[in-house]
Amino acid sequence: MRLTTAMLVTCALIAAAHAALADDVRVVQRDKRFSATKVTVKSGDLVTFVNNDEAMHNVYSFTQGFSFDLGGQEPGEETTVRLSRPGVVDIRCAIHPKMKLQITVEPR
Amino acid sequence: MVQRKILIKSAVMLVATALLIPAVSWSQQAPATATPSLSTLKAKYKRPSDIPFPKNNAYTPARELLGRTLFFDPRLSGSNFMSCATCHNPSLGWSDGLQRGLGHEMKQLGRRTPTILNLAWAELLFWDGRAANLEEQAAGPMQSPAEMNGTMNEIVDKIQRLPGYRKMFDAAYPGEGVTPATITKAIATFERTVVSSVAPFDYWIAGHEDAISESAKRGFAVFNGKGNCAVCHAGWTFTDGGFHDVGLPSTDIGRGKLTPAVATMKHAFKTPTLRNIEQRAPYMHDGSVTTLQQVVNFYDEGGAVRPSKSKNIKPLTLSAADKADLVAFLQTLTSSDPLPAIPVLPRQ
Repeated sequence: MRLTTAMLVTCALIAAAHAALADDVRVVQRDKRFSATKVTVKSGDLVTFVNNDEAMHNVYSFTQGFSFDLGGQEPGEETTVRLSRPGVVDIRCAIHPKMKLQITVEPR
Repeated sequence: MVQRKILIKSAVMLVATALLIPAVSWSQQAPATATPSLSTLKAKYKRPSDIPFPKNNAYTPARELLGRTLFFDPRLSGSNFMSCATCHNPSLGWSDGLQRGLGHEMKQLGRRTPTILNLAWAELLFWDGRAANLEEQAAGPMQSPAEMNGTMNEIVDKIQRLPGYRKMFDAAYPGEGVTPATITKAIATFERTVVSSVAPFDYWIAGHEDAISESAKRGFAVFNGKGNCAVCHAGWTFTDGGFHDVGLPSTDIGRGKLTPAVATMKHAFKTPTLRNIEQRAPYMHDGSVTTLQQVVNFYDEGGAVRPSKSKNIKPLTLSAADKADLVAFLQTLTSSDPLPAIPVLPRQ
């Protein structure tokens, strides 16, 4: 019974969090790949990268106007970036160059 | 077209091997070692059937010929003395056999000359990955004062003055003329065709148990097991295309200059292919290790201790037999590649 209650509370918390971040996107890193090669978000959205791999990863972009580098990301860690203006952003892992992702940021 | 060429080459090699190996050996194809896990492992090393070319620079024979001609032409350098092939010499595994490359006026460069073998499958070029693709990479050494010491304006001028070249550019890139873009696209096209042929290892992967020695088979197990080599030297090209600090003592921070926010990229360099590795001593990005045996010893010891070092590099405690098997395995990656036809360079 205690377990069931705990699960319900957890689910409620997850649901609340999800509602708060309804427009945000999560991208998983697994088997040295991003879970998507292209995603579309709205200006101001958060994109969270979840390292579900056995290797360390990284997320960076050298796209003009969007340049950022989220540093090293150990297995199990998450990193987040907010894309605050429209454009097309090319994302890579600095360690594994075959890991590529293109994010299209549309006007809100 | 290129897909067909690779298949023909492979078929000829397979027939040649069949003639060399006694027929009885084919019936001994070793179910004993073909355990499911080994089969799964071997599947990861299967060769592709064709070469990938980008949509904006598709393969044509005219582009390959033009690229090969430019690759061997010393007029792409400021001195008119160095060509791409001066350092990327096909007779030396598309490298130069030197500890570190020699550039303009024979001055020693900072890093060993990497091979151009199997770069059609590569992402981010140069030891530090500073070029996004082969076209971008091709433009680098030509214009580097330390390397070929040319300028693109001079190179374009020299090339387009020669009717022989203008004709080749018209055939390869109709209507585009001699430009920095067409020069680098042609060279990149030729480089994409430089692919290692079928090696004894590939025959083994294809199911011919006698193609490699028992020692080499044990070495394959070490390579994928306690040696932990395959974590970076992955797939049929034997590289993950990634960047890692392996703990080699050096002041060169490699990819760390480009991605300073990533601590593990300090001292990190691109994982080189192991195809035809026997032909390319000395080894490592700085040519500091002379033999394959010494390379194996280096990894067994685990390299320098520093924060940036890859977590995959640690003391391995390999036995002398493990090390000998590993080297025997690495030697099975050497193929007898046909040398390219040396082009006649347009003189007028």
